[in-house]
Formats: sequence, C-alpha cells, structure tokens
Amino acid sequence: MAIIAELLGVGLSYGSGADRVRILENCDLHLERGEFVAILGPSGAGKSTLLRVLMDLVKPSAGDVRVEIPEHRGRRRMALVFQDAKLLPWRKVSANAAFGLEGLGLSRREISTRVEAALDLVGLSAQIDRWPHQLSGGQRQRVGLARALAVEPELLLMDEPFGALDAITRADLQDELLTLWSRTQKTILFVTHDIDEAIYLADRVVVLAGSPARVQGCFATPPRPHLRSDPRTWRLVSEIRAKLQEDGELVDFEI
Amino acid sequence: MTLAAPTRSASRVWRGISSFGGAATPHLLAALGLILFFTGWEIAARLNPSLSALIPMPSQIPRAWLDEISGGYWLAAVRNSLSHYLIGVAIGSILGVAFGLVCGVLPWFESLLAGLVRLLRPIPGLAWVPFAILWFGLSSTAAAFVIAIAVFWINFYAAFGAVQAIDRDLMEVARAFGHGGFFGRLFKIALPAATPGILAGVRTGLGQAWMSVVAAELFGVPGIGARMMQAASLLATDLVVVYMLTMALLYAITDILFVAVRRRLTAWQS
Ligand SMILES: Nc1ncnc2c1ncn2[C@@H]1O[C@H](COP(=O)(O)OP(=O)(O)OP(=O)(O)O)[C@@H](O)[C@H]1O
Ligand SMILES: [Mg+2]
Repeated sequence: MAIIAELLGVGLSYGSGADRVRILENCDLHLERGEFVAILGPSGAGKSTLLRVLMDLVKPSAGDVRVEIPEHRGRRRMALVFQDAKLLPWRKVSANAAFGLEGLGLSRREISTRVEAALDLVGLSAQIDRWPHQLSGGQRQRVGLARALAVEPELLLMDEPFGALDAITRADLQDELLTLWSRTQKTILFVTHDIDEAIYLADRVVVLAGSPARVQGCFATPPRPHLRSDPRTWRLVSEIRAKLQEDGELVDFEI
Repeated sequence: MTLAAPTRSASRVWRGISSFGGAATPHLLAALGLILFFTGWEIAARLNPSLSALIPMPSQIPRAWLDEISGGYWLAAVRNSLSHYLIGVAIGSILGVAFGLVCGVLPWFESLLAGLVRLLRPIPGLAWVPFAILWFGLSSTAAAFVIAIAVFWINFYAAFGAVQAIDRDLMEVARAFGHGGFFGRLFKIALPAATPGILAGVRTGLGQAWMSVVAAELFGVPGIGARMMQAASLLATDLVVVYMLTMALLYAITDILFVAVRRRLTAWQS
C-alpha cells in the first residue's frame, strides 16, 4: 500500500532557553492510504501537537515530515478537525463550512453545493443559517467536521472530535464516521484518549505517551466489523492499558 | 431602629414610583430631571438680573435659535462643521484602524513603528493646530487635519488592542484552511474578529471628534466653533448655548446612526 504521510524521528520543543519544554521525541508514524489510525494518549501527552506538525502548523525541531499529497494552489487536500471545533463566531454555519473552499477559484454555486453536501453529511442541513453561538457543543463540533469534509481531503486529521459529546450522540457519530470512511476511502488519523473509541474505529491504535512523548506501541485491531461487545477487543483493551501503565502515565482512562 | 424606618419608607416610595409606568419610568425620570434643571436655571437667572450678561435665560434660547436659522447662519455653520467632522473622522478612523490592524497582524511592522508611536502618541491633536494653520491656512483642510489626528490615535489603539485579544488558535484555523498568508489573516480573521473592538474605538472617536471640531474652529476656521467665538465676543450668550445644544443634537444623531450600523455588523455576537 502507498504511504500518504509519514513522521520520521520527529522531535519538538516549545519555548527556548530555560523555559524550553520537550513535548515530542523521536516519534515515528506512517499512514497508508485508506487507513483509519487512532492515536491514543493521556491528556497533555502531545497528541494535538503531533497533528499540528502533520498539518505544518508548527515546524518540528528534529526529524522529517513527509506528506504525499500534491499541492494545488498552495494547498494540500488534507484537513484538520480542531479539538474544540474552533469555528469562526462571525460566520454563519454555512460560511464556516465554506472557509476552506474560499480562494480556490471555485464558483459560488460550486461552493454552496459542496457546503450543503458536507452539512448534510453531518446532519446539520437545518442549521445552515445559524450563528455558532446558537448551536450546541455537539453541533459546533459537527460544523467543524463539515468544514474539514468540504475540502474533500485525502487525509483527514481529527483531534478528539467527539470528546465533549454525550455517549449516545458520540456512538451515532462514530458510526456515521465509519460509514463515511468506508464510502470515501479517505485516510483518517483520529486522536482520542478513549481506548474503546480508538479500538472501535481504527485499523491500528498508536499509543503516544511519556514526557517527552514517544510512540509507545502500535496495536492492530481485529478484522472489521468491530462489534462493541467483541471479547477480542477486551483483550486488546487490557494490553493497551498495560502499555500505558508501563509508563506510569495512566491516570484516569475511560473504559 | 430609628434609622431603619425612613429607609424602608423611602424604598416603598421608590417602589411605588418605579412600578408606576413600568419600563417607561426611567425615561420619565430623565425628562423630569431635564425639566427641573432648566426651570432651576430660569429661576436663578431671573432672580439675578446682574448675571444676564454672563448667562442667558433658557426661555431666550428658542427665539435665538430661530433667528439664527432664519438668518442662514445656523445652517452654514452646521454644514461647515459637519464637513470638517465627517472628513476628519473618516480619514482618522480609516487610517487608525488600518494601521492598528496591520500592526496587530505583522509583529515586525509593529516593532518598526513602536518608537515612532511612543514619540507621537502623547502629542494631543490640538498641538498640531499651529502646523495645520501653517500648512493649510484657516481652511477646512486644517480643521479636518486636526480632527483626523485626534481620531487616528483612538482608532489605532482600539484596533491594535482588539487584534491582540484575538484567540491565537483562530490564526491556526486560518493557516490550516489555506488562509495563513498576510491577507488571509488580515481579512478573514483579524478584521472580522476585531470588529467589536474597532467599533468601540470608532464610537469613542465620533464623540471626541466634536471636541476637536470646536477647538479647531475656535482659531477661525468657519463653523460652529468660530460662530460661538463671534457670539461670545458680542456677549450673545444665548447663541453660545444654541450652538452647544446643536452639538449635543448632532452627536446624538451620529450616535444613533452608529448604534444602528453596529447592530448590523455585530449580529453574530451572542
Ligand atoms: N504553544 C505552546 N507553548 C508551550 N507549551 C505548549 C504549547 N502548546 C502545547 N503546549 C504543551 O505541550 C503539551 C502537549 O500539548 P497537546 O495539546 O499536544 O496535548 P494533547 O495530547 O493534545 O492533550 P489533550 O488530550 O488534553 O488535548 C502540553 O503539556 C502543553 O502544555
Ligand atoms: Mg489535544
């Protein structure tokens, strides 16, 4: 299979001099086209930072980042769903979803078609004319997802997108995401601190922990479909827990 | 105990007043305050005829106002001052907001200007009057220039501060979606995100600018200020008051228009 993105020995520190904090050290990660990979790690480990590096929002202090997606008008077809949605409060839902389509030379009609399709996909067609402050937290998160989907990314990075949702909505959205993924064959890198979620969604679970954070291990999940009650996943859960605890890092993981 | 009794009865009276008329009560009280003020003034002026050279009686004002209007002076003065005001406010606000935004978006540009800003900012707009007259004569340009300088600083700091206060993560969102360049950050993030702060600055500038209008015109540029000086030198105090009220009226109109515009521009705020 073809590699779509790769981190090679990536290290990153914030600050300088005495305030310098090392966040990531010697991180290797490769993503193959069409794969669904989850990154699992405790809060503050550096998961969001890792996505920032992939997205070229911060430059690593060591190592290499390779993304095999051609540039078009200075942009790559990859998108990030931010941890707290990070919508632009002065734009209505539709304009928020259109954000990544502006400046590409698309016609107004084309943009609104794609925006409507993306909002339809996340089930927010009825809220198209609302302001972000008129939405619930879960709806905002879905607009963030629609904004990313609208650019039709080959690689979709998602930063704890369902972290703030209730269990029912979360389960629904997980299933919708899986449907979307199997239909479009996008590559998805999904950050979470929920072991169950990681196993349920992903082909592979990459554990990121420690300080500075390293890739502690990589676990393949059983063949799909993943059932929430599959006994094989229980074993995997305890293996991953053990890996996290090895590091003395695990504080309160949701099971 | 002795203290509590009158307080309680006072609050009962207050509740009586405020329940009477419901939401309209504050407006009624405001009108009452105005009436009391002008009545008191009228009585005081009538009781002290010796003061008549120094203070007009409110009852003289409407007559003076009408005469001034029918003589054509009022409209000419208002038209002159308004043109100074609008040109000065427009130039000062646009430049102030533009520099404030660019300084907020480009740290190197802000550093480049930091020394100059330190140097120029403490100089009040009115200190530029000598140069204004030297460069532009006693002209509308001179008045607009002085007004623009005063308004510039207010808007510069309001816009710069508003950009500084923007959630840094939104700049990351801009970069992630292909708008990380200077214009993307400026027009897609900084300008809309800073709009409430910018508008607060514009509003302050709209008020402060009237001060500069009068000050600039006191030096002789035709307009409300100049007309007030003429009136004062003829001891026509009623005319001075007419123009004071005129300014209050013009300010009220600009402020009402401003609030209507702001409501449209910041509809997205909760
Ligand atoms: N701009 C920054 N400057 C300095 N330190 C930072 C900065 N951004 C993040 N950090 C630090 O880097 C570490 C990793 O942050 P990061 O946001 O990547 O964690 P995370 O794994 O995403 O955590 P969470 O699950 O809580 O979102 C944290 O300790 C954080 O305090
Ligand atoms: Mg994070």
